[in-house]
Amino acid sequence: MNLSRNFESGSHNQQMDVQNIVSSSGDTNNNLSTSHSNGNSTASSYEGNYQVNVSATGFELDTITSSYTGLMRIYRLLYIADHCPALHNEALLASLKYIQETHFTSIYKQVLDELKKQNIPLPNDLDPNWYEKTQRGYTQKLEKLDTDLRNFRTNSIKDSIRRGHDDLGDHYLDAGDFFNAIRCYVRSRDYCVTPRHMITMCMNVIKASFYMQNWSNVLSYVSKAEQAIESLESTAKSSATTTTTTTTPIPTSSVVNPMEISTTNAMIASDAILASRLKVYAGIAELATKRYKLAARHFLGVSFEHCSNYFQDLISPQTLIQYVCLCSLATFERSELHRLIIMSPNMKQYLELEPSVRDILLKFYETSYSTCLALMSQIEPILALDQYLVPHLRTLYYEIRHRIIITYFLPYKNASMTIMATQLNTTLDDLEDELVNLIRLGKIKARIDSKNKILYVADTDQRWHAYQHALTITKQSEKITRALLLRSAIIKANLCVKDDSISSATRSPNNNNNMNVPRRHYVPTGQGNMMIDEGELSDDAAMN
Amino acid sequence: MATLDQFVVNIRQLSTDGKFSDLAQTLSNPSIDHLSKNIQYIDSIIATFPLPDYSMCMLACLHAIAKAPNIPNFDAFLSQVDNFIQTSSAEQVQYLPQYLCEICHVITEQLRKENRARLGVPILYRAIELLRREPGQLLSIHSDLYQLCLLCQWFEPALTYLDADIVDINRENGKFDVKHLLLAYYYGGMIYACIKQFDRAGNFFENVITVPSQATSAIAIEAYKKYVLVKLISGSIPANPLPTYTSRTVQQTIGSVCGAQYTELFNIFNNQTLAQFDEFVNRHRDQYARDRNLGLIKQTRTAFICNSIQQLTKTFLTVSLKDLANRVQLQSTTEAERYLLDMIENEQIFASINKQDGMVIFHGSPEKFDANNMLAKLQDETEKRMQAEKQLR
Repeated sequence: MNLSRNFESGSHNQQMDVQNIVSSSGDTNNNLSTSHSNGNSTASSYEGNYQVNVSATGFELDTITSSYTGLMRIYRLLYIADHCPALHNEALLASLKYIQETHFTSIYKQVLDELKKQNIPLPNDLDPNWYEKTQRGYTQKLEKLDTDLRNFRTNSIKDSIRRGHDDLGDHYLDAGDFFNAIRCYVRSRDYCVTPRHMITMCMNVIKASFYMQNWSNVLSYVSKAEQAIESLESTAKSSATTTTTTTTPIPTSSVVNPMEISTTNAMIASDAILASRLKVYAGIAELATKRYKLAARHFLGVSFEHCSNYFQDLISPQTLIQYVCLCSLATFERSELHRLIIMSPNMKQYLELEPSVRDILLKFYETSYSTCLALMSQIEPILALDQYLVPHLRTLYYEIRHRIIITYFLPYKNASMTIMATQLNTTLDDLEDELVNLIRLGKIKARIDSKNKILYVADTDQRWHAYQHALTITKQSEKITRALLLRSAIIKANLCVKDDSISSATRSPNNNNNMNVPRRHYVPTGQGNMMIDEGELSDDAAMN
Repeated sequence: MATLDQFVVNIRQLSTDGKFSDLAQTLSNPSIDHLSKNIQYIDSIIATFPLPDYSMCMLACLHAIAKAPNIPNFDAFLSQVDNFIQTSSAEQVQYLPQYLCEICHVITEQLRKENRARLGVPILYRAIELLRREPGQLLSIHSDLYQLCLLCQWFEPALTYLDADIVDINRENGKFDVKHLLLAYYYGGMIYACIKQFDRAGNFFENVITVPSQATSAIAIEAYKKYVLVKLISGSIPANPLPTYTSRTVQQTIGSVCGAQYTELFNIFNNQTLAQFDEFVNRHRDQYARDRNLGLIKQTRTAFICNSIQQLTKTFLTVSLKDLANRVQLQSTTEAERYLLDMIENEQIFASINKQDGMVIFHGSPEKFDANNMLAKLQDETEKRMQAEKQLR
């Protein structure tokens, strides 16, 4: 049973894309997916109810439960429960505990049913009446908030109306009703006065859209929020300068001012946190919409201390660096990789947390591709448990592989395919298929010597191509000139295929089918009658 | 009878006086169409008109016979017409081109029904010779000639006219129907396809499709189907399937009627494997059979294989025969070898086969464009193009 149904349905479309990419790149050759490097147990693309075996990786559920809070934690646990049989029970029980802290009754019911179906012993302190209690509490609070809102409206105090909407939205969010939550938040937009209100509203909408996986919404509101922050910063800066200028003449009031400055500093700090948060949201949205390079860039802007301290309900530093690693390896140039990730002090802190990711990056950069690929396949099961990454896992891995092949071949005029195969952990035949594919896609300019198994750089004879092109152009221009001459003759003679009958809505399409005499195409009426007799034309025999 | 006699005397007089335009008007005036009303006497009337002086009158009589509901003695009529064409004066006939054309239509129709197309070809050939004012003029007789040539599989007469570029169309006093234009190019395209000049066939079919039109004709649709197949066989797959000046209605009808079966072929050609191609063809085999395009489809299959092999030349320097057969999805290495030999002979690819270890080595094109004649040829072509363009202005 799919508990994390949200993500299955949302990611299904993306699965199709992966499948399509995989099969279209196969072309006339064997499907690339079957030539996977070390025969991993997972299917060629992660779709449906795949199962992951994480025993080899030492993955613990604690990493999730400790680094996340809130809805994110629940969703991640449920996803793991769906897809990892070893951790299934643990994850379900843990998620149950956390669901009880929210009003999310629908998911509670699902989890409980699943547990009962599989006869897993429930914890002793499980409140059997939790469901009804929470439902009642939910509806009660909803009514209260509604009446409050109505009161506020009658009083027509803008700020209280806005806050009322916000509260209502928060309540819906807590219960998992994301659609209504977004509705409420968007309604509060009309009552936003200051940029700060705007920012709060944007953040709320982003959060709710995020859970609903409405990525375009997320991205648009992220940009709105960023604009609002900028305007806020400019006003804050101007107010800060005014306060500093007023300090100098009056020394006695200097006691007051540090507090003001510190509050503005605090605000700037919290704005910075907000900005980082926005970057994370944007990054995940870009990842979901397959713009991997942009996603990587967004993630790179997230400062480490923000991430590790403030973002527990969103993302953990480990996950972030995993995303960064994959996206950047697939899309960045080597220089960018070096400058932005390996040398960056911010990223260094992340990399310390996840030594496997650090190793992958470093090995890639120092071109020990076989170890890099081996490490990548090692952490693959863990990555397969991350619901935002899974739809793109295959694509990203292929991209990285292709990039490795392309970078590998860059400095060579001819390269031995056997050495390449060992470097890339594949067999010679599979490698040949992959290379044919890449050449056909135009990513490598090379030719394969299948007898000696050598890859040569394709030499293009420019001169020959130029002459060939010239000949083609002459032929083309001849054809066009003739056609134009004919066309001018036609127009001069004022010829046009016309239907002179009045009701000419449906003419020719139907007439190919209704034929009395089998080989007569008859288009009825009018002077422009088109009677063709194909009867005696023995074109069939002639064309053989 | 009296009116008839009077009429005959009248036109005789006009003829001798040389007032040809008046004569033409009189003859084509439908209200005094005595000739067709008095068909039974027509033979005697004809006897009174010796050629070439009285060409017009003779023509009018022949036309009257042709338009009659049934022609009593068709062979005699044929020989009459033949005689007429060979001995009449072109100048006079130019005044009444539509009559001659209609006679030719009737003849074609009749011959087609009786399956004796071969008889009509020389007649029509000479008729065109007689009637056209310049080599680049198109008459409706052209479509008839092409039709008969196709029917009897005798292409030389048609080819002399096909190879000439058309720069003008004879209006035939308003009787030239656009249908004849479409048919002329359609049949012309088919003739070229029969003699395997697929490039030119494609051009002809394209011309049919791009005739300005407000409604779509069935001819255009058939032409499109053959166009797709011929383009695939000749190996030049255009980026844009149709030129931009195709009229909107034609494009829409083509999309709706033949999109699934024919335009799809373009995509399949580029992206899919032979097995998928075969499967697709089998699925639509009925449609192809109905359109009588099965022969072309078979040739398309060969072209598909050649295309796949050519793609392989771009990616491989050497490849084993077995591997080649696998990649192109052929049945066996012998079949692959056969295709390769064909292509090498036709100079579609440049390769050599090493039988010892079953390897195929692909070379680059040996054409170095060094020789003088190559340069001369280029120069020639460019001059021709410049001339043609001048003509266009």
